[in-house]
Amino acid sequence: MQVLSLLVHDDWGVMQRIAGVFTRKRISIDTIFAGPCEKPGCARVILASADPRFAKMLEHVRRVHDVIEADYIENNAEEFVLLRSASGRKPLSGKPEEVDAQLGKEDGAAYVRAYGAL
Amino acid sequence: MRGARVAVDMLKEQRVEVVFGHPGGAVLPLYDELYSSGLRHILTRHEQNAAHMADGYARVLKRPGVCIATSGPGATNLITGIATAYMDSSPIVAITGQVATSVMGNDAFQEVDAFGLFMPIVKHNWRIESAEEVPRVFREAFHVCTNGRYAPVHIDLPVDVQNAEVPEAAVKRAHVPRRKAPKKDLNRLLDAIRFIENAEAPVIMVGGGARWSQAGADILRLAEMIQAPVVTTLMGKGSVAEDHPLVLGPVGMHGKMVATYVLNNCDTIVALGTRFSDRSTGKLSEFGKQQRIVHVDIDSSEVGKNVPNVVGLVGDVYTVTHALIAGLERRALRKHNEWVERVRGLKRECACDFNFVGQPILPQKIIWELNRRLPDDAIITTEVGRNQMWAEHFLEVRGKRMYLTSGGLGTMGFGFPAAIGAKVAAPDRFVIDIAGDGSLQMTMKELATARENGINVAVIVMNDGALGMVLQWQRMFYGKRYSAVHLGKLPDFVKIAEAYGCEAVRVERNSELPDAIEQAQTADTPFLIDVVVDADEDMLPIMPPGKSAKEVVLGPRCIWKGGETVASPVPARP
Repeated sequence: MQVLSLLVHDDWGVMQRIAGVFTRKRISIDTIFAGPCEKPGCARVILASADPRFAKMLEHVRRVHDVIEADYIENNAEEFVLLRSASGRKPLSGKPEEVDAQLGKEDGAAYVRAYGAL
Repeated sequence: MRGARVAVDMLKEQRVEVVFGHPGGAVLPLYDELYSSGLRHILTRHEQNAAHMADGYARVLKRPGVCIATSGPGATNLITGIATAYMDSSPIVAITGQVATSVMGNDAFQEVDAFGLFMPIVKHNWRIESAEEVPRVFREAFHVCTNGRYAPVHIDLPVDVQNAEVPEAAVKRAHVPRRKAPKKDLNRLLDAIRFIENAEAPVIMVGGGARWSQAGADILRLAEMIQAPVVTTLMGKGSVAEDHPLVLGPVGMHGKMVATYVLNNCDTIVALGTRFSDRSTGKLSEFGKQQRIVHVDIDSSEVGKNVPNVVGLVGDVYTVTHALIAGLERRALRKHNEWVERVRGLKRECACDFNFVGQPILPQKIIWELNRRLPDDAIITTEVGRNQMWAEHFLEVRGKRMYLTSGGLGTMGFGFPAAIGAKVAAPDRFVIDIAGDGSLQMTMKELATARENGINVAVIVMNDGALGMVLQWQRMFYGKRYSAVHLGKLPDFVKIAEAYGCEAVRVERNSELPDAIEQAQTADTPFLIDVVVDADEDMLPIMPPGKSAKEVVLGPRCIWKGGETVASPVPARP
């Protein structure tokens, strides 16, 4: 799993542009994590994908006019999970291995998972 | 001042003199301002052709062409033209009207999500939400489309924004580009120089990037320095003068045998401003396995995209060529006389005399006559299909001649409107469109535009009554099952031209060709030459799609004996 961190201008269509790059190259993005950030008018987007070609997309993403910075980050990637089991809703976060291990114990629970990092 | 007025002022500020377009409900305020602006507006008969004209204009002047269309169908009609420009890296600023922001998203009359539709085929686009943004966006648009790799950009301009007041301060605010100029990356220059220095059999491969950075003379200097033959891709054709002894001509699917052979049997390729399109390389997995490749491109995402494991230099062709020249200048370059001699011999083997006489006329003959009779500063555009490939293969783009063609997208109907745009950009030069009957029928309504505006371009139609290239493929690869490919004898192109007030002649004999070409150059109106050609004459040689350079099919008249394959001294690349 590769994690790509982007700093982008928070303008109309920026997600569409970024997603378009991957759609054209037939690469599926597994998780998307996006939101406003410390810089006014900017946003951070974290994308993660297990596709091996995802690792070669840096220059293609940097080409998007609204992208200010783009880099792969791996070491400090966090995994976020929100799950709903019989016992109610529960958020999980932490190192991917740990979260995945916990998730494995929650058999059959509905969940949504995302990778994020700074 | 209202938004529309500021938009027009911004065009003037960017030294725009001509705009191509077609009005409609959502751009009426803009057209109202154009009325008294002093800008020359050329009314096209279809929005697609406005984009092609802006494209042709940009390719000649190397600065942005501007086209305008209304919302909805106007915007969707522009798309083919903008996509054509995008594939060939041509700078266009496309402006579309849009429904008022108050009804946007309601499926209002003539509403389409132009912002979303253009996104994948432009470098960047903007939907202006408030009049205050008009000056910034227009300045940014012109900056973006010519900074770094040239490309079209698009501005979506809602009708209420065109009417709203723009604060004076917004107009006066100096423009600060949002993005810095793309970085050059010459870190591997030394590797590149070492490769070139150690090459026994180098070749320079020139693509469209060389034309945009107008580096033809510099590339030839580099070629002379390292004694490398020069081959061009379809888009690179014309960027180096083709009468230079080192220039071998076009490579690729319908390239010259000598160029394709030399490119695939050298040991080092210096690729300048080309993206290794499948049409130039043939089967990609077979291409360049035996070669060391130095890949120069202005766009860092192109390096390693199609051909991996190259020495990549990121920068415009002009700058990098000069860096290479400077780096190589002080070195004692080896003479590789053997290679030079061999290439010279091979070039002789490929220099056929294509002055073929046949009845009906053979297409090669048309190009042969054009070669002799066109002035040295003629601008030649082509449509797409066999006409384009005959022109690519046989036409000699020498002197100041230019060759404009839709290489990447392969848009039928591109040539004629592009010729009009080119003539607007260079009114003193002779502009001729080499067309096929299929392609011309897609955009021939622009005869009206040409006639009305006094844009005297010439069109020579290779009329074979069919979609020639498709016909040939069905003959060669689909067992002669001719499916939906014959166009019949209609229309009568001479009468069509006359109906639009243009002069035209039909040519059915070889002897009538010279006269017709002379007439086209002296006519007072746009001029059409309808040449009836032999539909059975195939465009050969052909490197069949998905096949490598070893599997080229030669024509029956081809004098190429075939150079022997020589094992490269360079180890195969991974």
